[in-house]
Amino acid sequence: MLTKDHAVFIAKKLNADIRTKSAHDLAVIMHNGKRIAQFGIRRGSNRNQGHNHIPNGVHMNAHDTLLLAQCTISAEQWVEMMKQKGLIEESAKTTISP
Amino acid sequence: MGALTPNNGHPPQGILVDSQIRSAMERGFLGIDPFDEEGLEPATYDLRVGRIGVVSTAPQPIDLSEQTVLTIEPLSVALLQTEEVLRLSPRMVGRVGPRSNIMRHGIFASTGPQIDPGFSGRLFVTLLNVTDHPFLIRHLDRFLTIEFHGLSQTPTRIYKGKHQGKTEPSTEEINAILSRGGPALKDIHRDMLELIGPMRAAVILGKEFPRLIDLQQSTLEAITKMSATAPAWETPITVPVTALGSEHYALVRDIPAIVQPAGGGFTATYFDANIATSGDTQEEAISNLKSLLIDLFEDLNAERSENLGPEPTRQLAILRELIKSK
Repeated sequence: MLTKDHAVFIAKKLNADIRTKSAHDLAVIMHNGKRIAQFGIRRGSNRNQGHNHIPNGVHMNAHDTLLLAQCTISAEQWVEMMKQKGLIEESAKTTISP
Repeated sequence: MGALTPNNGHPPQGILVDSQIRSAMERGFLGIDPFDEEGLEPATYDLRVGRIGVVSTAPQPIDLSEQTVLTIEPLSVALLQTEEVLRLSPRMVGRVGPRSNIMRHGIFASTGPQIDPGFSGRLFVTLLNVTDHPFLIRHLDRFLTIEFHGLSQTPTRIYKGKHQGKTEPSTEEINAILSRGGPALKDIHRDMLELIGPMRAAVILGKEFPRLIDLQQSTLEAITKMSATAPAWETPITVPVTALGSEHYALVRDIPAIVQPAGGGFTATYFDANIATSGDTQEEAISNLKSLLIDLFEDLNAERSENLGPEPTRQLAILRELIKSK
């Protein structure tokens, strides 16, 4: 299960810009000035609140998303995976920028 | 003299050889477009991978002309189209199968059905990677081979099915691949591999074996129990979203939200735009999805278009078609 803690950690790891919205905080992930992904972080103080929707936002399956949250997959590896999936244009550089 | 003189000017009965395939094309009984001379084999033609690929581990169809390679992960499936558009006369049928290079790599292809007389269009084939390593395939790789057969006479009916004239995968076909939602089979496979080590150790050590048998038995019983109750809570349901509950925005049309149990709560997903959120209850998940649709619509609209990557650009285009100001 993916929790709010996982979501917050992934957002920090990918240098996401956190934008406060009506029912969520929106974690917006930029790469070289381009917005490439985003996901919602639910409001509430419960750190174990379910966030099993995060895989859709970061374009991975649930298992790999957990590995991303647990540091087995690095931010750089995630960028490479997004390139392979065509979600980052090939000409883009490999550093994540806020 | 052409190779088609028997059979009253039509392609001869039986499997056509290379010269007869060429002759059938010249005389308009067979179309292979674009034709690749290197694909013509002694009695078959090798079909190449087309531009659009859909793989269960990627969130959207992939344009292979822009991406160098499509990766089919272990125990994942991909829907591929042929580069060639085929056109068969009413006096011909085709039989298609995977090329041996595909089969040798442990890739299964959903081939077998006859290509009916009078068919025209591209072929769409699902590949399943049953190996434990990724399989890479590129645009224009030769991956299928097709035999052409001449018939003894013209059938009373020619093919007029739903695939007639089709050159691109349908939304239904794309969603069928994408909605597999990831590697369920892969997860099972990984779990099985993890079990192999302890099982081998148990056999060697002997004393561990009875305990593992008990563990396996209790796991099996738990799975059986879960399976029996699964339909009541595990099956995803489709909830039509008819309104956003907003003073400022309205939906142009109803949208299907897929609500699935997950980790003690629920996720709600609008697959067309790949937008998802969670909730402790089904109702909360739907409510959160509505809010997120509006939030994303406003947030993406506020971005300069040149700052949007491929997926946010696609999502914004869908949301603009879907949401209007009141």
